Amino acid sequence: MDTPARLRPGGLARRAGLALLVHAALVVAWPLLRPLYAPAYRALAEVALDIAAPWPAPLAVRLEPGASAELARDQILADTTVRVEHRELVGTGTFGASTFFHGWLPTSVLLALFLAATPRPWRARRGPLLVALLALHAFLLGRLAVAVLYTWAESTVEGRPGLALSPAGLRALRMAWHFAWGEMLTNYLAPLALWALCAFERGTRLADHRIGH
Amino acid sequence: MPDRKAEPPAHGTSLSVRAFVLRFLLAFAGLEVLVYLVLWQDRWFAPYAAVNARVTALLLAPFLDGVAAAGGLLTSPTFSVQVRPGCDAYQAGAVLLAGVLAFPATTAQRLWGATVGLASLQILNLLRLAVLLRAGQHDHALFERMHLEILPLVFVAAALGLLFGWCLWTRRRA
Repeated sequence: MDTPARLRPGGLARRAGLALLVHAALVVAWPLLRPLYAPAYRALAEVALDIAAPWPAPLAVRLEPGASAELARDQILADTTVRVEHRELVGTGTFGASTFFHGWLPTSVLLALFLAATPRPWRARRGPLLVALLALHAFLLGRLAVAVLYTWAESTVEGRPGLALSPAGLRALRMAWHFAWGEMLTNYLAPLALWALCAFERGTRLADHRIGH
Repeated sequence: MPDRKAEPPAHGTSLSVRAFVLRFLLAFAGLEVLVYLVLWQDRWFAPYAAVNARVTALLLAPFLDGVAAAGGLLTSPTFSVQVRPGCDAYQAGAVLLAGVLAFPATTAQRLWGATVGLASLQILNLLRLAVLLRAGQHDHALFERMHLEILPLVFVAAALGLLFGWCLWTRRRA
């Protein structure tokens, strides 16, 4: 039977420090990973959005490599142009995306937490890691869908707004877009929350010897 | 040897990890709505931005000639920084406060954590504005890098680090 490691506050701090180091190493490794990760991100995102298609209109979303200076403005390492087109009417919207900022960065946080900060034996981490990775990728897909919807709401189709929303609805969508797509904080909070929800056994308490005194 | 009864858990520590995370997320969502719908509205943000610009100008004045503040604008002879929503300590503060509210602790510990944490983040924000002005004076690319990558990361690290430190501190005193 797997015996969870006993952690004291000093041990927690050590594990947090170790997770930071692993995260930094995974971030630094980005130039090596990019040739594989970036095309995979674009291809999988296109397929997933095509299948999920959470739009009120028939939209086609294409992710193309490269981003113009205008689309890359106020973005970290923008390397993708997301093109949104109506399948039947004339109307297009585009925005820039970063496979690093919107994909790899939160993934690296989650991997670092599971590799270095999870107080469980390796074997016991695999299942929760898989669940957390799936949930994180659902989040990555969700944030991209929000960005597509926001761009479409700001675009015009044959002279009309792509998405007819009330002022309150547009404001809520802008909030969601800003938080999900533009905030550095989200890249850390989402994987941290998923890690905490998945990495510990059900019923584990803050007072449990496995995570505390 | 007679059986000894298990000691009751220390104050509030019987909370499960999942319950803590859910409480944190709920509190954070509420605070985020407050930030977006209230604190970032011009009516509330403009005075905050003006105070930030003024205090940063005062801090920089001994080291930098010609630095001044006009409303939410921090100016120098060669570069200016406009304090806009996002150039604040609100979201980092929301993370800290949500954690302080969700984590089991006494009211005094919560007050202590919230006061010291928010004050630290606010001081960090003044430093951020000063660093941005100095970076912009020297190199626009460096300003962009600081503005988009490095300083947001510093803020995330500060908020999570302060929260983590406070949690460990309360656990030691439980």
